Formats: sequence, C-alpha cells, structure tokens
Amino acid sequence: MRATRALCAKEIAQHGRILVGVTLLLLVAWFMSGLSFSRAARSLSELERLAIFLRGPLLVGAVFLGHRLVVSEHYARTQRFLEALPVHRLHAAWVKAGLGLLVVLAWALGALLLAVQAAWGSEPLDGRFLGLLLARIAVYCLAVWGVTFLFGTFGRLRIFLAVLVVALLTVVDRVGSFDLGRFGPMALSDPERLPFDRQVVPTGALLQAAGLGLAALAGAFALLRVSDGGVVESLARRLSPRELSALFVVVMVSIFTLVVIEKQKPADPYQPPPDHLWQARGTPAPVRISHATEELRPAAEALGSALGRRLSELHELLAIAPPVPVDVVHAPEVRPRRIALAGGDAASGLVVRTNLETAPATIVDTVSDVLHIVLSVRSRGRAQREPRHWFLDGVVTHLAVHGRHSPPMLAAEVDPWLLRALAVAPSDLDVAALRAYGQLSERLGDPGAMALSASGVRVLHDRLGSDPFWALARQLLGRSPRGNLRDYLHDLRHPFEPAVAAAAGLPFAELVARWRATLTELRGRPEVARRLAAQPVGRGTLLTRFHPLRLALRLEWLSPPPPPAFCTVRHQRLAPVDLPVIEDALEEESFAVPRPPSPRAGAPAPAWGGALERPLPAGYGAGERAFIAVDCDSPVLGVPVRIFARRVTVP
Amino acid sequence: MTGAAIRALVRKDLRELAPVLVALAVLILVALVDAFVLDAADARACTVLGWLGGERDASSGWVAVVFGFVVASALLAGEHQQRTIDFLWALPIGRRALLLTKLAVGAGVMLAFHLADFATSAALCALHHDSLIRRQLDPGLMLLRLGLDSVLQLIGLCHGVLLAFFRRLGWVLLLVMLLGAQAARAVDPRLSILNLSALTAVEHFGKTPLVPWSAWLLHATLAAAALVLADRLWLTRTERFAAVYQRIVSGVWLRRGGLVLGLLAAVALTTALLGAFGVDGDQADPAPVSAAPTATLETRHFHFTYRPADEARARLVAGLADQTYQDVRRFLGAPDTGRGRVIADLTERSNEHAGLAGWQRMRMDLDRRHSEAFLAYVLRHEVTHVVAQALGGEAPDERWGALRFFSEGLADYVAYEVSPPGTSDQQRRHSRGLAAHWRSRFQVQFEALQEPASFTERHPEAALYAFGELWVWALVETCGPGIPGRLLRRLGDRQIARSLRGSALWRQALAREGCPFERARSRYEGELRRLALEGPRLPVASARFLSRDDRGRLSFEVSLVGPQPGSLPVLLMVRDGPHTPPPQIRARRFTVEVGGRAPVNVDDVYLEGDRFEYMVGARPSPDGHPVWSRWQSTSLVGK
Repeated sequence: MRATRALCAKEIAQHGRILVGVTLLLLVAWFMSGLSFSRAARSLSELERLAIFLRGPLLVGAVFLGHRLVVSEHYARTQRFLEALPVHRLHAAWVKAGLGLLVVLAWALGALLLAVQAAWGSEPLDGRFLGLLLARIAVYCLAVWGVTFLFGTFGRLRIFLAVLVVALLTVVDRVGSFDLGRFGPMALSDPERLPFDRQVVPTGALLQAAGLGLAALAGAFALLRVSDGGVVESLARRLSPRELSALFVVVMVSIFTLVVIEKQKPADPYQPPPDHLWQARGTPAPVRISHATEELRPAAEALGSALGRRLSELHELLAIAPPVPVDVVHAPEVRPRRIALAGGDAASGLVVRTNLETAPATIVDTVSDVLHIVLSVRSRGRAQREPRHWFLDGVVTHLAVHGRHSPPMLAAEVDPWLLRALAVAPSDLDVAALRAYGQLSERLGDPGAMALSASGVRVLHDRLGSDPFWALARQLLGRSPRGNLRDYLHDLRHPFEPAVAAAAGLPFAELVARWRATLTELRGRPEVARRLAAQPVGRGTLLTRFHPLRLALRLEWLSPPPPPAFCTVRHQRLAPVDLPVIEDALEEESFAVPRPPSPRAGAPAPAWGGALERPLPAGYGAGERAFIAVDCDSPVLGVPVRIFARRVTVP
Repeated sequence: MTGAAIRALVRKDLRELAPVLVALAVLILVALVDAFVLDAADARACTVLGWLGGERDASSGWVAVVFGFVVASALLAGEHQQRTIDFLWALPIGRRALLLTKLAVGAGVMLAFHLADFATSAALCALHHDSLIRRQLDPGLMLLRLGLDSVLQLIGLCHGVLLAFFRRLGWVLLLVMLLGAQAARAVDPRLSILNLSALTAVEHFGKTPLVPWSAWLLHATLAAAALVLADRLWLTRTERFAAVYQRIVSGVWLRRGGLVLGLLAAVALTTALLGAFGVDGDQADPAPVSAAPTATLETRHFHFTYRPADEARARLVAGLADQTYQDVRRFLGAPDTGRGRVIADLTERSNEHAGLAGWQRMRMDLDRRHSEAFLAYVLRHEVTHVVAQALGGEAPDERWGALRFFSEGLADYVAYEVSPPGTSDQQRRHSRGLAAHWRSRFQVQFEALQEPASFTERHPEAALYAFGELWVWALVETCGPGIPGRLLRRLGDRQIARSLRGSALWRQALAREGCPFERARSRYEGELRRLALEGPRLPVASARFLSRDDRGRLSFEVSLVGPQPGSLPVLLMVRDGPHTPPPQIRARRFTVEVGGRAPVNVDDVYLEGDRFEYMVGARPSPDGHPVWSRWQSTSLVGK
C-alpha cells in the first residue's frame, strides 16, 4: 500500500501540473462547445454537450494522458528505475493504469456535473436517469482508457496501429451487419441516446464496453510481461523517416486493398406481388409484367408477349447465357416511349418501369429500350461506349422492329421507324458524327437517334445478310465483360470500325457514305416525300436578350403543324464542364402551338411562318449554363421531333 | 558553384528525400493500378480540371502546405537534426546556394508529383470514350489549372520551409494557422480570403472560371514573405534556434508549454469540428433564449417545462398531449415501451423551426405568432417523431438521415390522420398541392429525395415534408394502415445491408414486409400526376435579379401570378451559396398583388464571390408552407 502511495505521489509530482493544465483546457473546450451549442438551432437538450465532450475533448485528453503516463516513461527509459524498485515489476504499471482511469473518470464526471447544472432548469433529472448517465460515463471511460493504455505500450507503432484499427473497423462497419455506432463505447456515448434514455439500462453496451476496456488492459499487461518488458522497451523509440515511409506505404496499400475487396451485400432479388402479374410462358428469357390494375392486363399481355419474343431472340442471336430475367412494372410517371431502370443486375434480373397506359401504342419502342438496357447492364456499360453506341441503338431497334430477318430496305415499304430516320437524318452524317454519337443523339433526341441508328444497321444487315450480320453483332455486343483492364485491352485489340469494315468488306467511311446515299434515295421517292411533307418542321433560335423575367426561345414554323400541336421545352442546368445530358432527367413543360391565321376567303392558304416566343418554365440566372431542347409532336412519325437543342450560357 | 557540385548536391538531397519519394511513388502506383488495372480506363470520370471545373475542393491548399512541410523537414530540419549540415557548410559553397539548391529540389519533387497526378487525370480524360467528356481537355484551362496548382505547390513549399525551421513545433504552428483561418472567418466572413481554401473556391460564368485572383495575389505575397523569413532564419538563426529548441525539448516548462499549446489547438479543433458537424452547429439560431424562470407540468405520458408567461398555451398543449400520444401509438401499432414520460421543453423560441423531437424528447415553440390549430399540428407531428424513434430505434443513424423525407412525411401524415375530422384537410391539401407543383415544375424525382443534403442545397426543406407525406399515403394505400409501423421496425433489421440506399433499400425493406415497393411508387407517382392536373392552383412568385449598388444592396423585381386576385405575402431569401449558415441568409417579407410586380431591395448581404443564390415564395395561407421556387444562382458580373 505504501508503495502504491509512493508511486502515485511520484506520478502526481511528475504529471500533476500538466494534468491541471489539461483539465483547464478541457474546461475551455467545454465552454467553447457550449458557445457553439447555444448557437445551434436544432438541439434538444443541454445534455447533448456531454456526449460531444465524451467523443471529442475527453478522447483527446485521454490520448494525451496515455502519452504522458505510458509512452514518455518508456521513451525516456525511466521505467527501468521503476522496475528496479523493490516491488512487483508491474506494480508501477498498475498504478499508472489506475491513476489514469481515475483522472479520465474525474474529467468525465466534471463534465457530467456541468451538464447537469446547465440542464437543470429545462428538464427533470431524477435519480435513475443520473445513475444511468453515471454508469454510461464510467464504463465508457474504462473502455477509452483501456484502449489508450494498450496502444501506449506499442510505442512507435501506436499511431500506425490506431490508424489500422480505425480503417478496419470502418470497413467492417460498412461491409457487414456489424454497426459500430451501436457497439460498446460508441453506443454508450451516442448523442442520440445518452442525453435522452432515462429508463432503459443499456446492458449490452455496458458489457461490451467493460469487456473491451478490461481486455485492452489485460492485453497491455500481457505485453508488458513479454520478455520482462523487453518488447515494450524495444518499441519505445521514435520512428525514423524510413520507418515512417514504410508504415505509410503499408497503411496506404492496406486501405486500398480493403477498399478493393469491399463487397456490398447483394440486395434481395425482386419479387413482384402475385396479383396483377403477367408472366411469359414458353420463352427462354423470363419476363414478368406487374400491371397495377386489371384494366392494364391487355396492355401487359401485349407488351409481355412482344418483349418475351424479342428478348429470346436477343439471347439466342447474341449467345447471351444465362438469360437475363426482366421484370416490368407499371409506372404512371414515366413518359410515353420511355422506360426507367429501377434496379437489379444481369444475374438476378432487371427491374424496369414503364407506363403501361401508353404501352399499346409504343410497344416496339418500349421493347427496344428494354433490350438496350439488358445489353448495357450486362456489358457493364461497355456496349454503350461512344464509338459503338449507335450500333447498339441500331441493333436493339432493328430487332424490336423486324426481328431476326428484315426485308431489303430499298425494296420494302418505308415503315414508321425508317420514316423517322429519314425525317431526322442530318445532311452531314459521316464517320465523325457517329464517333460523337452522344452529341448527335442530343441534337436529334433519343427517338430520332434510335431510328437513325436502326437505318444504319439495316443498311449493314442488307449488305451482309442475316446470319453474318448477327455474327457481327454477337462479336461486338455479346461479350461478357470483366470490369477491369481486360475490357479496355479487348476493345483496343478489337476496335469497332475496323471490325464492321472487315465484315462489310469495304472501308467504314464508305459504308457510312452508302448509308447516307440510301437515305437520300429513299427521301427522293414521291410517296416518302409526300409523307415527310406532312411533318411540322420548325426552327428554334435562342434570343440573346432577357425576357422580362426569363430567357426566351423563338420558334419559327416553316410548315404548320396539324392542329392541335404540342411542343415540349426540355431543359436542365449544366455544370461548368461538359457532361452528357440524361434525357430522362430533363425538366420539361409542354405547350400548345398557336394555330396559324386562317386564310381569307378565296385567298390561297398562306405558308405559315408564325413565330412563338416561349419563356422557359424555370428561370436561369446570369452566367448559368443550361441545356435547352424543344420537341414537337409529330402524329405522322408517332414520336416527338426535336427542332432545337443547344447548350447555352445565360447572358 | 559548379555544375558538378550542383548535381552532387541534388543527388544528395534526393537521397535525403528517398522515404518521401517512396511514399509518393506508392501513392501514384496505387492511383494508376486503381484507374488502369482494376477498372476500364476509358470509363473513369474525367477530373482533369478539378476545382477549376467546379469540383469542391477545400483541402488542396492545406495539403500542399503539409506536403511542403514534410519535404522541407526532410531536406533542412533532418540535416540539422543529424548534424550533417555542418559538413555541408564546411564545403566551399555559399549557404544561400545550398539553401536554394534544397528549395529547388523540394520544388522539383513537389511539382513532379503534381505533374504525375495531373498527367494521370489528363490521360484518363483523353482515353474516355465519350467525345463530350473529352471536351474537358481544353488546353487553355488545363494549362491554367496546371499553372495554378504548381503555384499552389510552391506556396505550400514556402510555408513548409518556414514551418520546418521550428522543427516539430511546426506542426503546432500549422494547426494554429489552420485554426486562425477558421477563426478569422468566424469573426468576419470577409476574412475567409485568409484561408488557403479560398484559392480553390472558383465560381463560373458559363464555362469560364472566375479565378479569385485577389486571393491568389494575397497568398502568393504571404508565401513570398514566408520564404524571405525562412531564408533569414535558416541562414542566420539556425544555431541560435537549435539551442532554443534544445532547451524547449529538454526543458520541462518550455516543453510542457508547447504541449499545452498543441493540446489547446487540438481541443479547439475537435470542438470546432464537433460544433460544425455534430449538432447542426452551422444552423445558428438568432432567437433569444430567455433566462426567465420555468414551470413544469406533468401528464400521464409527458413532462412539460414552460415559461410562466406561456402557461395558457402550455396547458393547451398539455391538454392534448396524452390523447395525441395514445392516438399516434395506436396508429403506428407501437407498444408501451416503459421508457417513462416524454420530456417536452416548451421554453424555446426559434426562428428556424416550430418543433423538434428525438428519443423520448421534444421541443416546441409556443410563440404567439402560431395559431392554436398550428400548435396542435406541431404537437402531433413531434409526438409521431418520438413514437417513430422508439419503434425504429435500431435503424442505423445514417439510414435515418437518408430517409429524412420519410421521417418528416410520416410525422405529417400521422399528424393529419389523428387530427379531429375536417380540421387538417385544408393543410393536407395544400401540402400535397405543393408536392405536385414542385414535381411538375422542377421534376423532383423520388431518387432525389433520398439524398436530403444535396436535395436541400437546391430545393426548400418544406418539399421533403410534402413529398414524404404523399409517399406515406401511397404506402398506406398500397399495403394497408399497418405498414408505417411495420416499416419502422423493419428499418432496424440488421439483415438489411447498411450500405443499401435509396430505392434499393425501400424495395428490400418493403419486400420483407410483403409490400410491393414498385406498386407503392406507382401509386405515389400517379397521385402526383393527378394532383398536378386536378389539384389546387397555387400562387407562384418569381424574382429576377436586377443590379447591385455601390453599398452592396441587391435589387430584384418580384412578380406574382395566382388563381385569385388580391395581394399575398411573399418571402425572398438571398444567400451566398449552399454553405451559407442560416444567420447569414437574408430574408425580406413583403406583399405583392397577384398579377403585379414589385421592386425589392435586400441589404447587408455578404457575398464571397461573384455568384449568389436567391429563392422566392408566396404564402397563400398563414400556417402553410410558402410556394417556394428553388435556389437560383446568378452572377454579379456586369451588374
């Protein structure tokens, strides 16, 4: 006992004044946190400060205390004098551990007293609640001090180990079901619970924290016993720059490895509710359609049958195995002819949302969109890489419209999809435009771009014949990706354009020229020209001045749209750097186009050249960038035609 | 000094830097492996313009200083510590030449590392498959970023050389620098220019970055001054400081003083960080807190504390409380947990909220500007939060954070449901009308609501409540009235991966309760669409920024369109950006005739750069949320 008293006296004499200083600093921290807390608008209790103090300043104080009591003693080699005393070799360590715990407890209890004093006027503080607070704090201090003491014995490795432990715990916390915030000391000091839990004894957390603290202390003493403290002593010196560098490298590589191997728990596969469910039968590709009401069952059946058929063909033609299951869910908010990927993956199945109310009229478009998603997801986005994106769009549209075989383009009647292509095909369609397909697609809008791509694919199909064409498609779109460097190398070794050119037996530029020529030839047919003449053709101009409140557009109609005509302004704020626009994320507002003026009696109908100034529905501030597009309905084509698309900076 | 001597010195200094070089090489290697081996290089995000292209980056400046400090310590302090400097000074080479050589080596290493990092970004961008993204490879902007980042490295080195003179005390000084910059900003926002993060806070006009040249000039000057001072110290005061440092290291009091200083800095930093991130420290509330005495009131389930002046209103609330508690518990199917009374503090006044709730605890503002009906609604709302916390207490905190729209929506939904029939119909209709309005006007997607922090950067917080209420309605309509309570319990299910977010989390949690998520979502979307077509027409205010005068006053023109004639109260709020704390958001309240326009001036707005944001909303009813626009950014350039 006398020895204990003497050792305590020695520690107090050695560290007493610094401990008083640290105590004052903690007091400063307490009042500083009070200052910040008094400004906080969303605080519920003054006792919340206690939790903040336990997790912040007290932790810093405990680490410093560990440094003073344990680390510096070994670094200065003064522990040898203590070991030379006529007491048990670990007696001094026990005294340090006990004294440190008492100091940390004293700090925490001081904070508790201050918190109680601050909260006294605004909430009841009964004995049970105070007892709970006391128990939480005491056990928390035991855990914190135990761990600090243990790390202190690791000398120069303590910081490295601490970083490693924190990194490991973070990864375990993120990956598994283990919730660090609900474990032992973290649960005891939880700012959401500590100030508010007045009745329930957190038994589990108390036991975990106490176990952690005691285990850490036991570990520290075990280490102090190894080789009579030789290991601890050998660790007690400063790291050299080279050791620091090596540890840094180890930490970096460890963290990187942990991040790489971090795997998320896969989500449960989608299970549609059994009612209002249509399932494809007799097709290799499982397709299920969840139609919310019985009224939508016919639409679900029609879509499901078409989708099941085309999806099976896709799997067969591109040799996709195992088949990718697809669930379609009715979604009233989804725009006509659009679908939205709602989740899933190629292995467990994809869930897509589409509006079944508009489905009957847009089945082919919906099917081609689903096929597009299947190939995109399965290829981890590789099929959507820009050089071949037009080919993907074209193949899925071609398959959705024609299936495996299509009649020769020039010999057959012009179908609506080909008519769309003829309406939107730019005169400057060339290899460069296809290489920048994202920008072309932005200019034409998705329906136009898909139709144009399909026309190109059909030209290729006509040239190659069905089987060689699908062999090419299999080669370009059917590969299973690896998700790493091998994908990049594969595409480097098998570039898209040469592959197409080799299959077609002529240079890629020549193929594109023939595609352009075919479209020109088709456009020249009287019947096609007549159908195209019925299209509204508009031109948009951005006015470079402010509308009284908003930016304005000017639409000049070269030929009047058949009434009633509706247009839609689609727009989105852009970042200062160029990134692709996601069509489904565009904001939009539809408006009716004013009718052209009626011709006077007996006079010929004037060529309508009306203009329309349309304020944008959402304002854009000066200096902001925006993507603005105007799509107008075209009953003949069955899809909206994009008449204006531009990325602008508001003046 | 001959070329051979320079080469020898450079080789020697590079050897000194070997540990740092190894660490840097590993960093670069890790980045390369991650980008080129573990991923397909042509699909990585392009970051070649970094902060110059609008990415938020508050740390580059400080990282450069730390980097500079480490390099300078290895080159200069290490020589002195190992006493090898004596051999160097014995050489027939001037001390300044030696110092300059070391600085040049340090600068070379830092710039080389930076160049390698930049080259990696540029290569990834050049390999990107998307032609639009490759447009970011703008030679002018790339050169500008490369140049500015190189200057940043040199600024870091200059400060590092000065800090390294003070050996390990340099870390304390660095911390003091960091805290000083934070404190200066707290004292006066205009002093935020002193923070190195001001260098990389770039606004844009279109694609053109508006580089804060004044900050760059200031920090370049400070760095030059630091370098001059470091030159003096390293060349003339080295021996003297070495002796002082030795005394500091060996002297108890000096060492303790340094430690205390360091600890003070650490404590201050910890407290500042916790204050900033722990308890909404950035949401300061200007409402005065009264030190007046308080009184208490107990009911079966509640313990109320209130000011005697508010006794009548407190009794009103207390009179409703037990019944409300029972109603909410019954609605959510919550058992009596035996957690004792809910502690309700009615003493607070707030300009920021009408009520708050947490674990067995709630706060309400009894201010007289709130009607009794509104107080009753707030009570129901907050009691729902308390009961929901008890039911879903096992859910991880970050999950609750992500599901805030559900939490607030649930509280609103239950508050309406347990209200006496007919008393809250109008409020609910208004709330749903707002949701439909925001949805149709701004295309607010369900997924966007799952990220409340980024959502409220652009949209009003009230939108979370309105959309959430409608979502809970859709859940109940699809899966029955018991679903909110079951869902609350399910959200704490440890079998649900904690990393799940957004629709994936909803799908899984609801599937385990036998509730089809997609069907609930369809109902939610369908109702939004229906309300957009058939719901009440709301007054919509819009504002246009006109100009700023010499005194910094901002002039706007506000217009109002609405379904009915008359004048309505309108609120206009102005802030520098999403980072602006509420006390610095300026608000103006005024009335505008429907169909009319009104000029509005806003004074005393602190703006850090050339851009700011504003939001405007008309309030059709005293207790309802205003029909807010969203935060709109605009530029002062040319104004």
